[in-house]
Amino acid sequence: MILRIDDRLVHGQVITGWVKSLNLNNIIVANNKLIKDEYKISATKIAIPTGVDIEFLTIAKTAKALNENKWEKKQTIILVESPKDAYEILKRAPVFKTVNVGGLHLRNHRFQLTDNIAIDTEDEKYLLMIHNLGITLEGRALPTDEPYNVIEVLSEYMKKNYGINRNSKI
Amino acid sequence: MSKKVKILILSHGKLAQALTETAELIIGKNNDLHFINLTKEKSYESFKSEVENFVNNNIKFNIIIFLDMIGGTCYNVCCEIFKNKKNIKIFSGVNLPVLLETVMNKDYISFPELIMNIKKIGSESIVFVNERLDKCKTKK
Repeated sequence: MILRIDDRLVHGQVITGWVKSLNLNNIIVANNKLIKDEYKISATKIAIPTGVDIEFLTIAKTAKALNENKWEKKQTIILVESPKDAYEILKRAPVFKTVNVGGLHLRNHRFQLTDNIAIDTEDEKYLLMIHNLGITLEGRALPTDEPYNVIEVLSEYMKKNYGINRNSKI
Repeated sequence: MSKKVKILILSHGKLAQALTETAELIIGKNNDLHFINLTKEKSYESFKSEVENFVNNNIKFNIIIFLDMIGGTCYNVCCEIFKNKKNIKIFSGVNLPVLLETVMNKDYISFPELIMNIKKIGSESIVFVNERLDKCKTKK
C-alpha cells in the first residue's frame, strides 16, 4: 500500500506511472473538499483504467478504513494533496513506514526544494511532523525515479540558504 | 451556416506543438489550429489560465479540444473549464490522422457531423498493419 502526497491528486503520472506500471487496482482519493464535488468525481471516475477501483473519502474515513484493514486484499494507492492531509491520516492510522512525496508544485509562497517538490512553511511544518512520527519521506515523482530522503534535502537546503543548522528533529 | 470551428490541442510536454507543426507541414498553415503545451516548468495555474484565455477569446465559436490522454493534468484542467460550456467538445487520444481530417473537414460539414466523424476516424486510426497485410494476402 502506498500513501502519496501530490497536489494534482489523480493525473497522468499517477494513472500511468504508478497504477498501470505497478499493477495497482485501487485508488483512494483522501480529500475533505473533493467529496462534495460530484462533477469532479465523475470526471475522475471516467478517466481511470478499467479494472481499477476508485473511492473518494474524507481524511477521517480514510484513517478509519486503514485501521480496519479495509483494503488488505487490494493493491492500493492513497492520494492526498498536502503534507497536512498526510499527517492527519498518519497520526490516526500509523500503518505506513514510508510516505511518497510525489508532486508539490510551485505556487504562491512555496519555494522549490527539488525537481518535483516545492513547499511553503506550512508544508515544511507538516513534513517535519511526519518525520517525527518515525516515518520516512521518500521523494520521487515516478516509481522509476531514484528515491531521495526529503528531510535530508530539506535540512541541507535550510543550512545552505538560511544558515539554519537544523537537525532533522526540531 | 454553422459557427466557425476553432481547434485547440493540449498535451503534456511539447506533443501539442509538434502535432500542430506536423499537421501544418502536410496541409499548410491554419489560423484555426492552436496548441498549448504543458511543460515541466509550467504551473497548473498558468496552464489553466492559458486554456481559459483561449476559451474566453473564442467564446462565439465552436471549439474542439484535443487531449493527449484522458486522466492527465490537461484533462483535469479541461474538465474544470468545460463545465456548462455547450460550445466546447473534448476528445482524448489525439493523433495525426484525426487532426488532419478535422482541420480539412471542419469548414465543409456541420458541427454535429464533424463530431461524429472524429469519433469514427479516431477509433479507426490505430491500424495493426501486419493483420491488414495478412488479410490482403489471403484474399489473393
